[in-house]
Amino acid sequence: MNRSALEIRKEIEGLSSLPTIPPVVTRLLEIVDSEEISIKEIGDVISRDQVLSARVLKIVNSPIYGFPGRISSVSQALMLIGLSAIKGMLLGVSIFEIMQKTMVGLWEHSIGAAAAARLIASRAGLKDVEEASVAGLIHDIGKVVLGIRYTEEYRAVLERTGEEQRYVIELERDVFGVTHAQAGGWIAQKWNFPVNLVEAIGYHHKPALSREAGRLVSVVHLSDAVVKMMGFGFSGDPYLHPVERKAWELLGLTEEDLREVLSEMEDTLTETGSFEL
Amino acid sequence: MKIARPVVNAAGMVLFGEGMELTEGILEKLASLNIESIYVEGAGEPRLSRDEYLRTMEVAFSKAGDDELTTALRRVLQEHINSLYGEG
Repeated sequence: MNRSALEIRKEIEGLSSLPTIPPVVTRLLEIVDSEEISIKEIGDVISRDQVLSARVLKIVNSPIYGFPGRISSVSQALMLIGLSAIKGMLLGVSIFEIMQKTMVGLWEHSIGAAAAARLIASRAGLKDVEEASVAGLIHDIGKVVLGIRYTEEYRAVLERTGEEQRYVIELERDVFGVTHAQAGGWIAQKWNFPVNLVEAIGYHHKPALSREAGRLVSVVHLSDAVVKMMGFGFSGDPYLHPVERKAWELLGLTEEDLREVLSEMEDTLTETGSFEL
Repeated sequence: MKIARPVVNAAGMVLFGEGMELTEGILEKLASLNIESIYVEGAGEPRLSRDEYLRTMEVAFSKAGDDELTTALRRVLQEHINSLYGEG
C-alpha cells in the first residue's frame, strides 16, 4: 500500500462514523461530551430507541458484567456503568454486526476480553471495573476501522496471517505501516473518548507507552492474552503476544490470582457461549 | 433441576426465586411469559474437549517465547486444564 502513516491517519480520522452505527448512537456519542449532560438525559435518549435499549439491557445483564439478570431499566444500567464508560459501551453494542462481518470470532474475542478485564481489574484493585470492561470490549476497534476503510487489503491481511502463520499486527505493519492499535487509538481520540480509553485501545500491545492509564492499559493487555490462551473467539491470529513483565508487575497480581481469573473466566465463557446482541 | 438465579420481570420483581425446583407448572408459566432462558444449577458442558484445549494452548504459546512470565502463564493454564478434566 503506497500511503504514508500520516495519510492513513487522515483517512481513518475522516470516518465520521461507522456505517452500521445508527444515527441515535452518533448523536449520543456527541452529546455524551457535553458537560451539562446528565446520566438521566442520556438514558432518556437511549430509551426512545427500542433496539438500543434492548442491547444495553442485554449486555449489562449478560455474564460479562457482574450483575447478570438484575438490571431492568436503562437508567439503572447507566448508573452502574458510569458516565466515563457509557460512550465506549454504546460504541461496543453498536458495532456488534460490523465486528462479526469484519472477522469471524472478533465479537467473541471482544466480549471475552471485556469479561477478563472486569475480573482482572477487580483483583488488581482498580476503582472503575466498568471502565475496564468497556475498554476490553472495544480494544480491537482498530481492526473494525481498518476493515471498513481498507476492506480488500484488510481481508488479504487476514488471509495471510493463516497462510504465513504470523501475527496479524506484523502483517498490518507490513501492509499499512500502522497497526490496529494505532488506528483504534486515533479514532478514539478523534471521537473524544476519555484519555483512559484512548490509551487502552492505542497501547494494548505496548502498555509501557501509557502515560495516563498504565494500570487500565495493563489490564487490557493481560485480558487480551487471557482470552487467547483460553481459545475463546478469534482476533485475527491464534498466537499469544508475550505479556510485558512491567504490565504484570504494575497490576501486582500473583499466579494464584491468575488461577482464580482463569477459573472464573471458564464459568463466564461457558455461560456466555455465543452471546449475541 | 433447580433454578440457580432469580427469574425477574422487566420491573425487577422476582418471579421465581433461586433454589426453586423447576416443575412442569413453572416451565409452562415461563413459556407464557415469553422467558426463553434461565439459569439452572449444575455444571454445563465444557466449552472445549481436553484435546482441543491442549491444542489451543500449544498454538497460542508457539510464538510467545520462554521467558519466566510466559512460562508461568503456560504453567497456570496447564494446571487449569488439568483441574477441568483431571490429570489424565
